[in-house]
Amino acid sequence: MIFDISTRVDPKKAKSEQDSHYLLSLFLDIAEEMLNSGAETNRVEDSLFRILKSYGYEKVNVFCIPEFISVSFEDPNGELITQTRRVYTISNNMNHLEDLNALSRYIVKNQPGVTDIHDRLENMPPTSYSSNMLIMAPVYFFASGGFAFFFHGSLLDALVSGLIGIVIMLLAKFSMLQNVNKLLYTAVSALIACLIAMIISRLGYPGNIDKVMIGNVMLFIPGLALTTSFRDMLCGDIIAGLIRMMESLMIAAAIAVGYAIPIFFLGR
Amino acid sequence: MDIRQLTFESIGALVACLAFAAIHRNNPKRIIFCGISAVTSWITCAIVSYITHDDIFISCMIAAAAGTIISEIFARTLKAPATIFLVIAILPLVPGGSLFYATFYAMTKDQLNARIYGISTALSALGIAVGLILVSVAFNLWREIVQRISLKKQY
Repeated sequence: MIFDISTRVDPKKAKSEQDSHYLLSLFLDIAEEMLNSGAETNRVEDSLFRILKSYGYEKVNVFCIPEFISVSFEDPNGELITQTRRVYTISNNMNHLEDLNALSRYIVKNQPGVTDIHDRLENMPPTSYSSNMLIMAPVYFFASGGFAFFFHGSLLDALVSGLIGIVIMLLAKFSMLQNVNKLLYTAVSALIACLIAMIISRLGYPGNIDKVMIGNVMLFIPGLALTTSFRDMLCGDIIAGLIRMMESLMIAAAIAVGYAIPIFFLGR
Repeated sequence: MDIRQLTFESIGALVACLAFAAIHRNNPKRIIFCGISAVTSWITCAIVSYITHDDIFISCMIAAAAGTIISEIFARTLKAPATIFLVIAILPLVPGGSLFYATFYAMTKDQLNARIYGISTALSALGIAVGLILVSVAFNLWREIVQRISLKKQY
């Protein structure tokens, strides 16, 4: 998995404002970032198709799966153009997805030139609060604790679950493993969360340790990937749907393994 | 039907789903709508579950359908992608507890309970899938028909 640090094309090197090659590269940037933010492949294909059609290109062919995008078309000068893009990271960033959606609507409406699109892409605001630990810590606390309460745990269970949730957040923040191998990271993270819960249970925890663990499991479960995979499959894109579904099933297995090991050793 | 328990569950679901919406790095303006769709789908699930005497598949299916409808409505009125609301709406239905208990009992060699919870997990996942697919296909079909009619008018 060797890849370049992705940089945008330089609009100064483009031959004109409507240079189809550079425009296509920027459109692929938009599509790649949409996939990185968790869009369905159907949405990405649809956006690319609309954008390209709005510029008046003919013979537009778009293919997209979660790891790969391929586009070719014929521009008004009669040139046949093809470009592809390899995509590695898939995570969630809904705010960015909305901004990209708005940008593609703008492009379809106005057909801007290379410099305009490039500037808009570069200056897209990053999400303000997601890197702020003071905000994300209570968020993870309430996510984990809320689900512990939802599954009929007591308030004490919710509290302990929330605290372990904060540990999970710290793990996510300070771990490089996340980008290397998502499965391994999920398993290790689940293992650590379960270990802490089992240790607390062994030290004489007065409440119900099951509810604590359920609250933490909900943090790992790939609800987004599963939902997106179903929507992909029913929109006719079986390959993309199967890829995501297998990935989410394997993540579920990784969670199960991660939880099984401490329970097996520190037992009931 | 235990209204008190339903209220507690809804409060827990609301808090947790608002937090998850923040984890997914949503625009703060959208977070409250995510919470609304999640609570809607959970209350639908509870009602249908009461009516059908705890039929997991049907209640997850109808709850997922209701969640998808609400998400699509929000998507159209707020001009935001439907995925944002849909993911959070499905979250209370996703069989986290069942999956956990299934693997837990499989590990502690309690075959009977493992089978019970395993079947429950599979049924709820299938129910969510079918409910999602039904409503999404209907919306997609509607959009395609509208597109084809407008294309035909062009020619």
